[in-house]
Amino acid sequence: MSHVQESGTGARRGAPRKRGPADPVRALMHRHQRLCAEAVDPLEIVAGLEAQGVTDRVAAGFRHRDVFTLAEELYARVPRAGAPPAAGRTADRPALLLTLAPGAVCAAASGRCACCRRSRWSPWPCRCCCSRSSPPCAADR
Amino acid sequence: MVALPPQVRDVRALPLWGPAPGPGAVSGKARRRRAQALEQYRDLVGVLAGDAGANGVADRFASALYGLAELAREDGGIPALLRSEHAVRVLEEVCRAPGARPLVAQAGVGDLLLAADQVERVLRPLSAPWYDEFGDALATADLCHAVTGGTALLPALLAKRFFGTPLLVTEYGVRLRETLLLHRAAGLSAPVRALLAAFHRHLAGEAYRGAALVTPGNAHARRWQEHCGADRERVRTVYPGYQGPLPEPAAEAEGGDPTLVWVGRADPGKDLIGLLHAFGEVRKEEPGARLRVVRAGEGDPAYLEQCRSLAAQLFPDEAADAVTAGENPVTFEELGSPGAPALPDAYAAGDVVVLSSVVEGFPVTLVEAMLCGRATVSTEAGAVREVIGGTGLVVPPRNPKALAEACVALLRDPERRQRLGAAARERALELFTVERNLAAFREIYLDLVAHAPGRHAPLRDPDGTPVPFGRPAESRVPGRWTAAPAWALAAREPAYAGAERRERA
Repeated sequence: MSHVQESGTGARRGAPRKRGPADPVRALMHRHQRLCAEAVDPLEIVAGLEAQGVTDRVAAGFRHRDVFTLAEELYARVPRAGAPPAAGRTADRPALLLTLAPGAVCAAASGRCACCRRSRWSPWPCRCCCSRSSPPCAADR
Repeated sequence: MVALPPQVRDVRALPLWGPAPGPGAVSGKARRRRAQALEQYRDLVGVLAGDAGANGVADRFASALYGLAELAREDGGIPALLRSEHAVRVLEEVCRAPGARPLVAQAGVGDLLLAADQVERVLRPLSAPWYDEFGDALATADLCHAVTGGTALLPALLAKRFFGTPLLVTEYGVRLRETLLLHRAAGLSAPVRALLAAFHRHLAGEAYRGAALVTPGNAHARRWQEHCGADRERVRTVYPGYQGPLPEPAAEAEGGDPTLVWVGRADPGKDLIGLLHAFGEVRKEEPGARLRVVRAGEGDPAYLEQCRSLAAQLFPDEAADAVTAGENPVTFEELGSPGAPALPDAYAAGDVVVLSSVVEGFPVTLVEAMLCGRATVSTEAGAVREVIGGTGLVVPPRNPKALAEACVALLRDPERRQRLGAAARERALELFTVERNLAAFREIYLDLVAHAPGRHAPLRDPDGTPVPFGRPAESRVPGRWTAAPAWALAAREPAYAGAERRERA
């Protein structure tokens, strides 16, 4: 009778019993890869997850308040399927800027990637969760 | 055609399909108006193509929408304009502008044409002929009750905007969610889906924020509405009511094998396969147990066939002795067949009603089982927990072992079964009858109308002509515009009552 409870007597908050990976959302990302990659709005992911039985209780297992915040994380982390590859387009421009206009770099340093706080004008792609090349990282959402 | 109930006086249909109404006369004034309309349209699609999280986006959407509505009120040619090449060009410029989302920026010509067409369709209520202030359309309504989300919200929002009519939004299933799923299922391209999703999201948000009251049908709808902008204080859950003759409490079957009953449509979301596995666990504890699967309504035939074959594999036919014909412990029946002619019979045939869904909206079968006074075991999905309250057992979904344990516990304890069944029936009679639902809405209507400002339509003669100066100007002043005199405050009774008293003295 350990799993059974009469409803209304309080929910047993679902911490996963097995010791899982440090990033439980990554497995979920993998499982719902197509849904997340094709989504155009976090709510689309919410609708898709709910249709597959993901409830707030499941989301609590991923350390989220509800399905909405879980879907927002998935939406932010999974690269969009149709988004143009941004790395090539911006590869040379920051270098040029660095050479020609150091003042502009200083002025632009206030704009940073929302995930890792790396400067938007860094010539290297972010190594943070969004793993994008820097400038589109902030502009993409 | 559906026959109208007697209390419905008039029904008007506004087709959102087919060709748009014609362009109408093009005078100099009309041309200026159309240029303004294109500017409003540019604002509107600018919001749709832009970043959804930016500040003030909701206000920009609302102002563009109502601006377009004001122009459409004067000019019948707006739908044709929004279908024209001008509108598509505006949409293209907006999508190619620097501020647009990358997802929208890659829209092709086909995407743009499709998106412009869809946006024009959902905006068509703006141009319907119902703005006449002294006519019999929007202006005369005391209350607008949108009984679904989506495009149906537009007339109600217009009435609120132009005539101050209070708005009540009722949703049993969240329309925005269904629309998003529908767009995905229809295979629309990502840019079109992005634009339309933004439109529906902003429209729903505008309605939820502007509504005097939002009444979701269950907690799931409530969460979506609150997430999309509904104010927590103006949300009130009104459960759908069970319509039809209330079933009598089913009598406990005596002496038979312990039986589980499942009633519903056979869909993958109902997880019948999980139920069969759980039943296997039940049989280990209670070897004589039986399971009746009663189908009500059309389901997925392929899934049902899969379940049948699984049941045949898991449970071989059984017979009491060597001379009688065997029978499978799992039977599949259809509602209306001799074994289960009506719903109460189906529920009465079992000791415990099981609901094994993974995905569930408002569980109607659970309410029916409760009304029949049956003890239930259900999985926690959708609105199950709030429907059942404390009057049944709830287990996690996709957990056959827990489901089996709960079923065995109830099958072995007739006294507890009876207690839970009686409590469930009381709860269902209290909360989920149609009378309850009607009473709640009657109260809400009266409350909202009582708080609404006076109607704008003039008083009329019996023969229908408006009476000039029929309504004094003071009736439109909010609050008391003169302080009440001291004698009125001292004696809160009508003047004639005082006169009578004086006469008696």
